[in-house]
Amino acid sequence: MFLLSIISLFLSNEGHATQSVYDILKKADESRGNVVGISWEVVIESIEADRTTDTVVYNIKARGFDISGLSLEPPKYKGNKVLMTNNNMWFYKPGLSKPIPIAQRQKLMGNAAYGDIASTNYAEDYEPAALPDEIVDGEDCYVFDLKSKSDKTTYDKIKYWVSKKRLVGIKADYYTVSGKKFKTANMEYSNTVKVDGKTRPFISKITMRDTLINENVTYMNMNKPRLEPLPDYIFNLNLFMK
Amino acid sequence: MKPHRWIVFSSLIAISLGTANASDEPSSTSSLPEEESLYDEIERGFYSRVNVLAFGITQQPADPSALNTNNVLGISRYQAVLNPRIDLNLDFQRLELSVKERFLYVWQRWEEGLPSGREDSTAQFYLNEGFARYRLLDDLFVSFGRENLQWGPSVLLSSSNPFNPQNGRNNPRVEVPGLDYARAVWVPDSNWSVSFIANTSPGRLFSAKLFGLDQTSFIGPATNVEGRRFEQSYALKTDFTGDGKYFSLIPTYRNQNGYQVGYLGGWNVSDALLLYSEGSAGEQRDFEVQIGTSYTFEEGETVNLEYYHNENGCLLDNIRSCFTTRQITYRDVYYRQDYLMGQFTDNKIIGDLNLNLRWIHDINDQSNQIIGIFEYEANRNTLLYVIANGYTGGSKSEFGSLLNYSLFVGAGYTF
Repeated sequence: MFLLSIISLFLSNEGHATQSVYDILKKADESRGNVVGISWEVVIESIEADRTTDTVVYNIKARGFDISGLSLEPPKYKGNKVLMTNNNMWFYKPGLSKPIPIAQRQKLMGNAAYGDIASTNYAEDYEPAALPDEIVDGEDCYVFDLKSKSDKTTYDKIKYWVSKKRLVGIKADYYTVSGKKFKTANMEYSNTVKVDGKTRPFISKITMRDTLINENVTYMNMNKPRLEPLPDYIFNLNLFMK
Repeated sequence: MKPHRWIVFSSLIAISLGTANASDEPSSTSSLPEEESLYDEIERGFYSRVNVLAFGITQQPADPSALNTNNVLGISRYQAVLNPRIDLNLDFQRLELSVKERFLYVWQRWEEGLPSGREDSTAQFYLNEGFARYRLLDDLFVSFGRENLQWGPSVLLSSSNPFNPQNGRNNPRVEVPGLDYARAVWVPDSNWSVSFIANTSPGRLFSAKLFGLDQTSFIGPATNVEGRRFEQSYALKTDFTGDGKYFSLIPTYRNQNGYQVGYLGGWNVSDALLLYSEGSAGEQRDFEVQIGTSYTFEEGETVNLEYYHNENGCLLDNIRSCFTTRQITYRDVYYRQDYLMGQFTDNKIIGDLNLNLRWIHDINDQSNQIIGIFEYEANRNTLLYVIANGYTGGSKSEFGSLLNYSLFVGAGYTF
C-alpha cells in the first residue's frame, strides 16, 4: 500500500505535467466557483489609510457571471440588493421603490468588483499563454498570462499563479487594457466542498491590494459555500424584489 | 508520458485506492447539497428587517399662489412623523410570503391661510405590501397580494407603468403605496420572461395621499385632483435581457381608457455609459416618452440626464386652469408637457456622507425644482437624512405655485 501511495504521488505530479493549460485552469476554476450555481456568504472588509471603512456581509447566489446578492450586515445596509445578469446590473436598497440600473464600473466595495464574487471561469473566458514557472510563498506554481476573450469579463488581462501541487489559483495580478497593473489578489482555500462525492479545496478568502496605494486592502471572506443548480428565475428582475 | 501509459497507471491507482477513475473526476456540474433539516431550510429562507424612521418637515407655502390661494389646500408648515417599518419574508420551497407592515403617526401644524394656528395628529397601522408567491412549475410563478410593482430605468417617473407611474425617487424615505395585483411570471430562459399582471384594487394608492404623505412630503393638490378613480387594468409585460441590453414591451388594457402600449429599454454602451428610454402610447392621445443617459466616473460618481415629454401635459398659462379644466388626472406625476432632469450622485463623498442632487426643469413654464438628498451613515445601524427642496417660478407656474421650499430632516435606525 505504501509503495502504491508513492507511485500515485509520482504519477500525480507527472499527470499535472501532462495536463493541458485548459485543464489546469479548469481545475483551478472548480475551486473558485461553479458555473451551474453557488450560494455563499461573502464578508467584505475594506481598509483604506489604515482605517476599516466598512465590513459588509452579502448573501450571494452566483452562476457564471450572473449574480444575485442580498446585503445582511451592517444593519444600515440590510436589504440592499444587487443583480447582475447578461452583463446588465441593477441595484436596489430599501426606500427605493424599484431597482435602478447601474454601470459595471460601480465597485462593490474597496478594491473589490462585483465580478470578484462571481464564479471564476478563466478556462473558458480567457486566452491563456504559459509563462515560466515561479515559486510563490514556497509553492511551485504554473504561471499564465490570461487575455480576455470578450468584454463580458471583469478584467481585461490577468497574470495568474496556479499551485502545481494543489491545482488552485493562489495569486493574480489584474491589468487594465493599457497594460497597467492596478490590483493584485492572493487567494486561500480553507473551505471544502463535496463535488461528485469527492472533497475538494474551495476558495475561502481573497485579499485584494491596490497597487498604487499599497495600504488599501480589501478582504473577501467566502463562507458556507453551497453548490447547487441555480435556475434562471433566481436572476430575473421581475422576481428580484423582497 | 504517453497516453496509453497514463491510462494504465490511472487504472492502477484507482484500483489501489479503491475510489475514483478518470470518469469520476469532479466537474463543474456539482452534486446537490446535502440534506438539511426543515428548521435549517426555514431559517435559511427567512429574512427580516425592522427600520424605525422619525422625521420632521418644515415647509413654506408659496404666496401669492394661483393654485393655493390663502392656503386652501391646507399645506401644513410643520410635520413630525414616526414611521416604524417591519419587513418579513419567507422563501420556503415553492412558496414565498412577504409582509411589509407599517405604523404611521403624523403631527401637523398650520401657520398659513385659513387653517392658520390649527394643530392635528393622526395614527394608523397599515399593510403597505403583502403577497404570496407560488412556484407552480420551475419556470412559472403566480402571486397575489399588495405590491409596489415598479420598473424602468428612468429617474423622473416610469411612463411605461400603466398602474402607477410614480417611482418615488424624489424622496426615497417616503414609501410609494402598494397596489393589489394578481400576477403570473413565466421565465422560460435567462433572456426572456413574460408577466401577466392584473391590478385588482387600488390598495393604498388613494388612502396614502388622503392620509397625508406623498412623494412631495406634504398634503398637496393630489388629494384634490378631479377624476381620481380606480381603473382596473391588465398588462402583458414581455422582457428581454440580452448581452448588455434589455427591452420590455407592455401592452395594457384599462377599463376606462382602453388600450395602451408601454416600452422600456436600456443599452450598456460601455462599462461607464448607459443609454435608456421609456414611454407609452394609448387611445386617449396619452403619448409619453422619456430618453436618458447616465455616465459613471472612475471613482463611482454618476451623472444622469433625462428628457420627458407628455403629449397630454397641460400648456395653459395658469396652472390652476389645468385643474379646473380637468387636464390633470390622478395618474399625472408632472402636469406639463416637457421636462429636463439632471442628477449627480456620489457615495462617501466626504467620509460617510452620500449625496444626490437633482434638478427638474419645467420647459413649458420655466419653473424649477431643485432637490438635495443628503444621507449620513452615523454608525452601523443609523442613517441620518436631510432632503431639501427648493422651488422657483412664477405664482402661476407648476413648481412655483405651491411651495417656496421644504426641508425634511430625519433619522432611520435599523435593527
